[in-house]
Amino acid sequence: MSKLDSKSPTLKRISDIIWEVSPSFKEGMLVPARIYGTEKIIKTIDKEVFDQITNVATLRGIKKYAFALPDCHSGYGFPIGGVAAFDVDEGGVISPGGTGFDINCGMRLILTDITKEEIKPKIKELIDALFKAVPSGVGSSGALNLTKNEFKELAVDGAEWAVKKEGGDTKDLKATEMYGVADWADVTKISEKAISRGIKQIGTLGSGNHYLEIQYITESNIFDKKIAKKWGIFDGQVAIMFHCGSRGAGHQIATDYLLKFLDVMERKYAIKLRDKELASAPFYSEEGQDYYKAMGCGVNISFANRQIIFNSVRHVFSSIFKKDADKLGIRQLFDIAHNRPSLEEYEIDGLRRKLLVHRKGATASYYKGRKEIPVQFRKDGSPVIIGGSMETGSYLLIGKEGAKETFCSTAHGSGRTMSRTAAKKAFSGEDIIKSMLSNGIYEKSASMAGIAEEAGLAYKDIDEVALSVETANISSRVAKLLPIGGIKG
Amino acid sequence: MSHSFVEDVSMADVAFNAENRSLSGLFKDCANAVTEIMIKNTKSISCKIKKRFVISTDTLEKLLFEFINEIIFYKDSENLIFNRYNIKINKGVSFTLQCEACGEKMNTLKHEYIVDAKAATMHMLNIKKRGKTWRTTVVIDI
Repeated sequence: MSKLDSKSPTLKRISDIIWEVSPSFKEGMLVPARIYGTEKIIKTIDKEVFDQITNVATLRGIKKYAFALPDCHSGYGFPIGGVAAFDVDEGGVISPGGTGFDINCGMRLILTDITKEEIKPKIKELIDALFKAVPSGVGSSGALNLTKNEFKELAVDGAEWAVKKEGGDTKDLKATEMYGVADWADVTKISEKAISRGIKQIGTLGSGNHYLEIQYITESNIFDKKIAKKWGIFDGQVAIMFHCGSRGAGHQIATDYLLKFLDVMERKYAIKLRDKELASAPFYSEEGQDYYKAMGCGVNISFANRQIIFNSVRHVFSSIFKKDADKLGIRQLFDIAHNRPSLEEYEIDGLRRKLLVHRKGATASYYKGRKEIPVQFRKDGSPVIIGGSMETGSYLLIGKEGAKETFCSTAHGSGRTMSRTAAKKAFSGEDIIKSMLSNGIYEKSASMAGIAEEAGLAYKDIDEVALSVETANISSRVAKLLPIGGIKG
Repeated sequence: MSHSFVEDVSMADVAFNAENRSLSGLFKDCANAVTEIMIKNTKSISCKIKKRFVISTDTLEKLLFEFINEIIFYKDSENLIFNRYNIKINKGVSFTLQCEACGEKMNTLKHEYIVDAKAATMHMLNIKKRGKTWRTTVVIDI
């Protein structure tokens, strides 16, 4: 796919890291679009992002800018890595396409007291056991056998339900965004189809770019020693990171409401759009509120899913090390989503405004003191998890004051530079697995073609992405985590 | 008649073009493409379980969108994948599709998995008839 040209006259350089497209670029743009990234990053972004982010700038009630973050690439409707904030008291909209179809898809980072040297001899055994305990791949179904009523309770109570009914630690909830529950969820707003698709999938990873990794941290990859110490991170430490979301239920909720919004948005709310995937309705409309409440169920399903997976991880580590998970120091550092709109307050032109910040493939990065941050992290800033490709590692960062500019939003991953279809032609899954093994990474997947699609070379340079958000003072690096083993959905 | 996967339409998802002399054939091609996204050896799918469904919409694009999503729904809710379809499409006040799909439960020992298809999208979705041939481009969310 052709890439952006940093010398293009339509792309005005605002700073080393910010590039702007004027509202005069496209009819209907209400605000400028801003793309964040070093020049090196800008050259890796596919051109369709330009069209998509300027379409987002036409949505009703948008404030300040439509943002594309350094990991952005084209999606549908919003680009992935796209952020937009809508003033809900001025008719601002809510959009299922701006939420992302995998509602509340996100990352969970688990720390341990195990060292890399201790885990090395057991890595194959651990990954093989995790592969069995955490189902992944096409149509995977989970370990839980839920009744419809239990699934409905879970859709209302989120990770809290999972801890109460299936075990876990209440400390996990304290280390989860929103403490693991969307309290506005209303299960009467989701369809029977959503329930049928989701009921067997709790505790599963899914497919595509979803993964579970065992990682390690070295002294040279700790960038903020003070925060690292405070958060319990040390040289040689083993961590576990996983990436997944609300599975089929979340997708069904998004699909159901995309169709509902398409039916009413022009007829009832005079909203005309350039792209059907941007289907929207005013937040305070009947349809907008129904979607918000249904989307809350998707959020809860996702938090519960990650909680159940964490329980499986605890069980596997405990049985292989023959020690309680607590004695292995297994504890959750944080759980954070990158596909969820969030109601937040910001000062705009001297006035406090209530905005619905859509982050599609973008992570919240709250600077210290923001009320959205769970209490234990509030004094310093929110932890941010940026998941990389299976070959290159991931980052843990912390929210910084510069994030005021982006409505507290930062990157969520590396961001693709090559399409899945192209990657499958360019790489062999078997070769990647062999090469990773020779680099000390034991990777397991249900699909060799899926491995090829997820090749490290199909993604941007994650170091450059992390450096871009740090240079913009949106989030700063705490530590880089390198993989030693993983399962790929 | 055929479908082909395209590289430069969608970065993180999978796009395909399909064309067929008949509208029902075009829908069948799209269904086969969705199964090929998920399973490598689609010929290995046996016809053991039949599902019948009817969909009515006001546009052809929505009809295709809902049809593909119905196939994905059976994959998630009942672990079913199909490779045989009997499709009838009628145009009255609205478009109505009647489908009988035949397939079996997914089985790791028999079917080689690739990647999960999660939803049809409206991105670039249109159905056009040029000459005697129906054509469409579909992007599937991965």
